[in-house]
Amino acid sequence: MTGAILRLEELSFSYARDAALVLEDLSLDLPRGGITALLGANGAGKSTLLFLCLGWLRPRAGLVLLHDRPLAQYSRSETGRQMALVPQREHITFDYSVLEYVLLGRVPYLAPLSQPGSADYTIAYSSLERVGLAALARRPVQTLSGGERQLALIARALAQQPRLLLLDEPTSHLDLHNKANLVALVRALHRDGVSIVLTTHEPELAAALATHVVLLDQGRVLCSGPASETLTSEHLGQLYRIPIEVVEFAGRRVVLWS
Amino acid sequence: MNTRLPVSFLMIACGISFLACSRGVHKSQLGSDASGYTVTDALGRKVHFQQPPRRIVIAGRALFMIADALYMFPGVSERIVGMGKTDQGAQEFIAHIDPGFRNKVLLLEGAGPEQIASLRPDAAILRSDLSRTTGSSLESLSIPVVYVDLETPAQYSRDLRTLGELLHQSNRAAEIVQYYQAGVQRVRDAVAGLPDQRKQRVLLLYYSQSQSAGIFNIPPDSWMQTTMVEMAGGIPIWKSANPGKGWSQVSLEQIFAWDPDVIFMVSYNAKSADVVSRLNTDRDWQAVRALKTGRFYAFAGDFHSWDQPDSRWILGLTWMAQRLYPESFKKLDMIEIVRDFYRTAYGLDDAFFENAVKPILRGEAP
Amino acid sequence: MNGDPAFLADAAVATQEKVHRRRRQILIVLFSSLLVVFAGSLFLGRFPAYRFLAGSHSDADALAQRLVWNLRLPRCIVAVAAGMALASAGMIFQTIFANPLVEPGLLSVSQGAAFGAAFSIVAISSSAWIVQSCAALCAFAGLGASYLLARSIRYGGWVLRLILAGIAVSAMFSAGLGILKYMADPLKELPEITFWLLGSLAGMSWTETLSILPAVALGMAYMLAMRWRINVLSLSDEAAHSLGVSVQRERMLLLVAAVVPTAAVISAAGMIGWVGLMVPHIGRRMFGADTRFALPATILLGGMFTLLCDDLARMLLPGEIPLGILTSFAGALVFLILISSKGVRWQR
Repeated sequence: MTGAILRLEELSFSYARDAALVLEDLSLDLPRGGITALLGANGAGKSTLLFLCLGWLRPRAGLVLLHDRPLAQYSRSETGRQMALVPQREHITFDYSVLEYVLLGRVPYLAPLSQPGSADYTIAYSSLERVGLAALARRPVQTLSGGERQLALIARALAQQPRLLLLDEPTSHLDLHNKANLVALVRALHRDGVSIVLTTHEPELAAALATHVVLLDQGRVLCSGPASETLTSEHLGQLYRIPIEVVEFAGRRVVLWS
Repeated sequence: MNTRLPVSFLMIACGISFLACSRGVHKSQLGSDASGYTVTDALGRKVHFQQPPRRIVIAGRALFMIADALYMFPGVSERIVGMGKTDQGAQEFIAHIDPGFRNKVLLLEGAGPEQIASLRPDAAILRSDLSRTTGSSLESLSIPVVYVDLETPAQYSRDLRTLGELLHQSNRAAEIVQYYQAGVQRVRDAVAGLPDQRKQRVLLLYYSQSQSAGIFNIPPDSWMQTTMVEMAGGIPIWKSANPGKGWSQVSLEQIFAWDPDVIFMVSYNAKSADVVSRLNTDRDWQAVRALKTGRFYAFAGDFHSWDQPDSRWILGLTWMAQRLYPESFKKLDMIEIVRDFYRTAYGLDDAFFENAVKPILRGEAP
Repeated sequence: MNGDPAFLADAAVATQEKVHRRRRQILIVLFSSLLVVFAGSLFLGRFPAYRFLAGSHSDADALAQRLVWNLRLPRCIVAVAAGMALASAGMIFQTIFANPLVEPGLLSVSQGAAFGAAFSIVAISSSAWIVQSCAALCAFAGLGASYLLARSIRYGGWVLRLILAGIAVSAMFSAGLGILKYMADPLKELPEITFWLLGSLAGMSWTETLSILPAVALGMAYMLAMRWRINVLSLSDEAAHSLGVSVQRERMLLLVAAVVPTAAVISAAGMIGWVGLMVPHIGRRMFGADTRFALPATILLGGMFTLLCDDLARMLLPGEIPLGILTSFAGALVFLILISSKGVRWQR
């Protein structure tokens, strides 16, 4: 077993059959037990890459390997038990309670015709506690604030008890307080051994959180590797095409750009 | 709780299906008595009776056509216990010939099977278009249903015979059929040998009031009206123009395009004579050739308009033929024909004719 | 000890189970009510059948017996089955399309089914299975056409596009139905167009009951078996996929399970509207959005509602009132009350 939980080999993808390729011959290793940030400008193909990892989008060419096995060889529920997605946002039509909503994360563990049992409810509730929403368990999901909703989505993903957590632009709608909350949560999950991949266009978030960073520029990997190597002034300057300076300050990496 | 719910659901459904099958089998086992007699109705069904029914119900739209046919058989008044209500003044005529009519249950139009069944009938006579709804419901209650069509002359004779069989009065049925055939033959003989160039091009219109303006309709090819025109030696110029199976609206423009020799105007609720006189003063209509030559007739009628497949269709046919070819029918006295009709069909005397029929003769009265 | 995570979790789970127990009890109450209403419907009608209860054996009461067994019983069963099928189909549609304003009629499933059934009767055959298959085919065609059309509309949100497309396709099918009616022989082929457009259970016999029962039973059994999993399908595609669900396949299967009973019911009884739109709302109001309980509730409520409406349809006047008129009227009334009452919360 390599150190990569997810490997992308020469992936090519386009949205329509004869449309331009969004990703071309992309190869990537996402390390096991790390926090990997996929950093890029808007429209760089970050979410596409994430969905390809998830198996939601199918590549035109190339392979996605989970635990060194091609994704296609896993059954649907097996994938659901290994990987969980936290979408950027979700439109919620019906007024489920938060607990019922998070309970949906137990789907991969339940046969199609069966109903969740008390064990599933316990796990769902624990996930809520993990993200700090336990007090809101009986509230309707629609009454939650933006930050709380994000946490609920994470709780649902956690209920899947995944080895790999995929987060799609998790902080783009959050204020500073909630951002800090989220960062703390992700760090805690990382300590528990969950591999984490998140997409973002904010270098500050990557700087604060990531152990590994992948820079994406228009569907190509600019560079990838440990954060200390990739989050440099020149790389970021290349990516964003503006002068950027990355400095060390009080043990943390700070990105200066204005 | 996993599969208990859907499984129990399926079991209930199975149980009901089983019940349905058994009831279906049960139903088909009825009606295999040896005694009694069988009547074959308009749909070719063989309906079994022990004896002539004593509690007959007539239902459906245009039931007066069935009633008028039924009342031609003597002693029928005591056998009918209920019939539906219609417009067109059906009840007036029946009130004359059936003294106990007011006591019969007048079902509202479109009465449901339960309402009919509450009269506990031992036979129901319905038009065949009700076979899938009211008819089938009554049949599932083991109430014998006899279907009739009464739409064309051929069907009329056939269904009269059916009714005769039903009431054990086949002789009377034969009598009436003979009367009708004689009437038809008289018309046919008079117009036989008419070369095609001399045949009148006829347009029959039905005027119905809708909103503020009236609309004019033509009948479909299969209906009595079309057949009557042909039997009377005319050419129904609207043939093949009606795409459907009911009255179809036509515009004045189309009427001009057809340019008929003769126009007959039928109206069931408004007075056809009023319609005709109104149109004669209408500027658009005055340009129609048939109006200019004075061959624009309100269709005759008394209790009912004579154009429908009611018992009076024979009167309509005769009257129409006389209008079309007066030279061939110089010796025909329409009044006498009408008198004779009521005498033969319903056993009603001259007094009845003078008091009840003559005053209400309408249309281009003879 | 109070903050002990395991204790809190257990407490929360216990509360949840209490809620579930209460919901199940109410479901049992609903079921019993349905049985009571059913029994009542059997003994009420325009024909006085009370003597039958007294148990005398005169000939008149043989008629009463036959009436109850051969007329009322199959009709009540079909009414309940129709209500169940339509209400559950409405709930499935609303959940899958994540839109509480959707019902089979709006996406031209009903109109397609009616058209298919009429077309089959006129052009192919009157045999029940063929009619139902044709109805189901056209129902799916209607659904598919609405969906594809919605995808090609340029403006508006998904909700708006779907409804617009549905209106367009249903109009086409209704027009087609009108043409068929005009062409068909009213004596032998098609009943009144009011039957198709407004729905009616007059003339329901054991034959019709038997013909729709397999489709309805199987479809609903599947929906009931999946009653919790349906929740997942209301999420976005990616989220549902991430949860380990074959999104397209499961949605398709559920739609089939919803549309086939609907088509069967419509081919037998005409287009009965509003049940699929309104009853799911009541179900969700009473039991929460979780379809695990809302779906069985909707099914029971749908059956009861349609049965009551049909009772009125055959009892109010000597003649038959088309069922669709009553369901629309009652449905609209209930709907108005629902949306004007401020958040009346029932069981949560």
